[in-house]
Amino acid sequence: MRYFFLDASSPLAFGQAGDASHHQPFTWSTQMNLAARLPAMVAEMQAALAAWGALAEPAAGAKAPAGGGFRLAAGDRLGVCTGPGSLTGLRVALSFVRALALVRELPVVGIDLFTWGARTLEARGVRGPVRLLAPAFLGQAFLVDLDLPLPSSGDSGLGSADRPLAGTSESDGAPAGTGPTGAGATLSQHPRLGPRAGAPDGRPTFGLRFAAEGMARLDPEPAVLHELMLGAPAHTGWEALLRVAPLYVVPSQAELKWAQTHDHPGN
Amino acid sequence: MITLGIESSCDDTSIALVEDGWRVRASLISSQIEVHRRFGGVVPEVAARKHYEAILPVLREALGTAGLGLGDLGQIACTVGPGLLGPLLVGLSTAKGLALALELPFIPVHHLEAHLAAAFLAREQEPAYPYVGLIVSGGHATLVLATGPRQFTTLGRTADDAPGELLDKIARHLGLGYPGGPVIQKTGAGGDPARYPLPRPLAGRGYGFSFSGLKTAVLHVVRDEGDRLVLPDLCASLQAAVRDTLCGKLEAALVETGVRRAVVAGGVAANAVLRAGLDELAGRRAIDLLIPPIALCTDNAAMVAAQGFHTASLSGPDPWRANACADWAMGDPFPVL
Repeated sequence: MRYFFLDASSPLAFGQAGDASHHQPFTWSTQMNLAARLPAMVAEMQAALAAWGALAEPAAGAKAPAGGGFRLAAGDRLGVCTGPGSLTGLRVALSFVRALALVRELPVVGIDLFTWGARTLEARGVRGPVRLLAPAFLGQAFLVDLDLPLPSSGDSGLGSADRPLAGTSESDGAPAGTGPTGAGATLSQHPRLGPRAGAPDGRPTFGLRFAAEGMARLDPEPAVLHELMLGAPAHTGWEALLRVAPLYVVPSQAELKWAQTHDHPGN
Repeated sequence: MITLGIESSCDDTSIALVEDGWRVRASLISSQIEVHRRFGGVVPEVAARKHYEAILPVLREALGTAGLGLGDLGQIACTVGPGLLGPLLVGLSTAKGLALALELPFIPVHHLEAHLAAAFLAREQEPAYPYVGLIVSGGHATLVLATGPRQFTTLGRTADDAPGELLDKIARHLGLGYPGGPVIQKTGAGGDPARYPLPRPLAGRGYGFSFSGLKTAVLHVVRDEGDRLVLPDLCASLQAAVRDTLCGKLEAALVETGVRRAVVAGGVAANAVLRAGLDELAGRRAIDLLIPPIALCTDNAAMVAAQGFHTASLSGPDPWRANACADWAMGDPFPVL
C-alpha cells in the first residue's frame, strides 16, 4: 500500500509520500500558486516512491501521460489535511485530492492538525491534559483541550472520510458558527476560537507550527502521520468523498452581519 | 470527443458534457441564488464553500444524465478566470485532479470568451469570425472585436458598475429582491419607458460604458417622486436606458468596423427588453445577430466545454501550470502565478 498526503493549511504546504516501509516528507512554499503547482507536487512525490522502488519505472520510450500522470492505483490511498488553517488552501487540496480519488477509486483519509499533533505528543510520551492551538485570523487561535492519550478508535480523528464535519451540513448558507458541527471524534471537545496564549488552568500548551508566550512549539511529525495514514479506515466511492470537508468553517463578515441583524447567532 | 466543462467563477456550480464541441449531452447548474439572496449579492467565501459541496454531486448527476462514465471523457476544460478567486480555485483544483488521474488534456478557459462561444454553441456551429462581441453581466460590460480563436481587441468596457450590478443595486434599493435583472424585468412589464427620462451614459462618446451615473439618476427619481413613484414605469424606464446604451455602443462598433456579425452574451442578455432592442438593431442594420437562449446566457459549463473544444490547441505548452486569476484579460495567455 502506497500513499500521498497533502496539507495546504498554510502557505508552506506539506506533503508526504509513503509505503509500508518508507515515508518521505516534502515542503513547498506555495503562497498564491498552489493550484498551479499541484501536478508538479504529485510528480515529486511519485519520484520519491520510484526512488525506493515502490513505483515501476515507465517503459523506455513510453509517452509521458498528461500532466506527468498519477500512478497510485487500487490498494493505495490518499490523505489530506482538513485543517484548521487557510480555508482557500484547504479547499484547493481537498478538491484536488477528492478528484484523484474519485477517478482511481482510492480512499481519502482526512487528518486534522489537532489529531496529528496529539498523536505526536503521545509518541513522545506525553500524557494527561494538554491544550493545542493552531493560528487563526486576527491574532486568534483555534484551540482544543485534550486528555492524552486520545481514545483509540482506530480512526485517525476528525476529518476522516467516514465522519461528516463542518461545511457539509450548513447547506442553507447561514453562518456556520465557529466550530465543527460533525459528530464523533477522538477529540474530547470541538475546536473553538481563543487567544494565542497558554491555558488559564495551567495545562501544558502547544502551538501547532508556531509558538507564543506560554506555550511550546509543536511540529507534527512525519512518522506519526505515516502511522495515521497506514492505520486509518479506508472507504471509497462518491458518498465517502462527499464527507471529506474542512474541519472548521469560519463565517464570513457578511454572514456574521446577517446573523446579528436577524438575531440568529450561530444559525 | 467528449469535453467535460467545469464552471465555478461566481455563484453557479456547473458541469457539462459536450460532444464534438456542439452537442450538449448534459449541462447542469447548481445555483446559489437562494443562499446569497439574504446578503443582496454574492459573498465570495460562502460561494467557495458551496462550490466545494456541490461540485461532485453535480458531476455525478451530469454523468448520469448523459449516460456516460468518467472513462468516456476525452478532455477537461475549466474556467480559470476572470471571476472570484475562491470559487475559481474549487473548480480548477477539481478539474486538474480529474484530468491528471484520467490522463486527459486540461484546457484553461476564459470565462468571457466562453460566454461568446455560447452563442455559436446554441447554433450548433463552429465560431465564425470576425464579429463584434458584447458581454453584459453582473460583473462585466465589455465590447470586443473578435478576429479569430482567442484573438480579441477590446473596444470598450465599463469604468464602474456592470449593468447586472446596476440592476442588482437598484432592485435592492427598491426592495424588489435579488437578483435584480429578473425582478426589474417582471416589475417593469407593461410600464411606460418614457415616463422617467433617464440618461444614456456616454452616448456617442466612444465605446466605454459607465453605469454609476445612471444608478444615481434612478435614486434621484426615487427620492424626488416619493409616494408618486410609479414603480413599473421606473423599471421600464431603467431597462430602456440600459437597452439604448448597450445597443448604441454595439451599433457604433458595427458601423465603424464594418463587421456584419454581432454576438451578445452574458446574464443581462437574458433581459427581454434588451433582446428586443438588439433584434430591432439587427433587422435595421441587416446584421447576423447571435444571442444564446436564456439558459446559455447565464453562467454555464456547456459554454466552457465548447470554448475548450475550439481552443484546445491554443492552450500553450503547459496548461497544467494555469492558475486561477480574477482579472485575466481576453486573448491573453493563461495566468501563471
